[in-house]
Amino acid sequence: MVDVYCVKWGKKYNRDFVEKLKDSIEKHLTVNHNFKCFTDEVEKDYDIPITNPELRGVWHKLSLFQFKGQCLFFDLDIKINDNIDFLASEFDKFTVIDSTPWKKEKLRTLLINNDTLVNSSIMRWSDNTKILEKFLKKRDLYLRLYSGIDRFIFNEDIKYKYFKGDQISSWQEGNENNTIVLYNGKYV
Amino acid sequence: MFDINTIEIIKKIIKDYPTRLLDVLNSIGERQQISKDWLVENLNNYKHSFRNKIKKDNVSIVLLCSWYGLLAYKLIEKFKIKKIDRIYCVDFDPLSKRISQKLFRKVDNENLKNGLLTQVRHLERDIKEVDEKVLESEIIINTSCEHLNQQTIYDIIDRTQRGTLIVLQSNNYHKIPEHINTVNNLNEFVSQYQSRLINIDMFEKDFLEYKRFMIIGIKR
Repeated sequence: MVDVYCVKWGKKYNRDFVEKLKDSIEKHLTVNHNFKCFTDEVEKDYDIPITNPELRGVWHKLSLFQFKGQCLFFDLDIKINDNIDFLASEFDKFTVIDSTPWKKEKLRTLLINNDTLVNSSIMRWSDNTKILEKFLKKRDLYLRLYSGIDRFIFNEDIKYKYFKGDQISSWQEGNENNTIVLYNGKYV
Repeated sequence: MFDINTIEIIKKIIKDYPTRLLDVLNSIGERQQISKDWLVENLNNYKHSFRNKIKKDNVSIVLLCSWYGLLAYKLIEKFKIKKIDRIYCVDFDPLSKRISQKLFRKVDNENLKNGLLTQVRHLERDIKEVDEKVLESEIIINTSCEHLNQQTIYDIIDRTQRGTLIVLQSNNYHKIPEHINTVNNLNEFVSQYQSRLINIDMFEKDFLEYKRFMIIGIKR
């Protein structure tokens, strides 16, 4: 059984985004799964309450690493157009999206900006508790240095691999018909 | 037009610690300078007696969450109440010490030449793990209360000796992700410490988007 997570925190995304993602997952993931929404406003049966209330926004994604098993995470601002069963394998290695295709032009500031070539709009893992422990131990330092978890993952010697293939792309690449399209940075 | 020494320091930081450049510049930026100068100025004007203020010639000071150590050098330059033997800079960032040494090497050398012999000692550790010996210092300063769990701050104060001079800063800048323990106003900030401190002087500084609060008091 695969556990599929999303995070809804604060007012940036309303409940419609969660319902839409849930419907998309049901339609396009044929593998047995449980849909769960990690949230500060528990309303539905599939909601689970956040566990680190001191964190804000995207940082709650790291709290999901307390959960073990066959875990998949999706941001709320994605669109799924086709079957995504290819995501439901190789859970043993922490997997994220390679953002190089839409970041090529911005790489000159990679080091000084603590920038990143990781995108965590979709993540896959089985046991990432050590990453969460590392983050919580020096939370204040990491929050100061990095403006999001993608930068934390990329710059802190965390072991990860990228999803293979070309079925995931960003709207910034101009292709909105791919299997999964990320709308990263669209809803600011 | 441009200060040559500062340019050289920035070049060194870019070369050795490029991922820290913006953080370093933030740590010595205008608001940091204003907040630290404000602290030292009001500390100098604090009239109440603290432990060893009269007895001993020199004092030790602990800076909790010291970042890259700007406040240590402000104190060496401007603190007037007593001579300072040693300043402990406590921060769990493994790069704090090395970057601080790059930033302030020239200042250290000039201080030596001018007979300012205060030792700045960097301790890489969580403030929950500061040694008892260090906490025997006469003055404990934490300008980052908004970043810390309240209980952590209480635990540190509880471990200090009676009569220790305690300086704390916080703010109402709620929207910053790392600010997990902001307060709404100065009175709320003071009320958090009234059971632990006496002779509290309180201060407020307006930075437009937020207010910074400061209290100076003596451990009961």
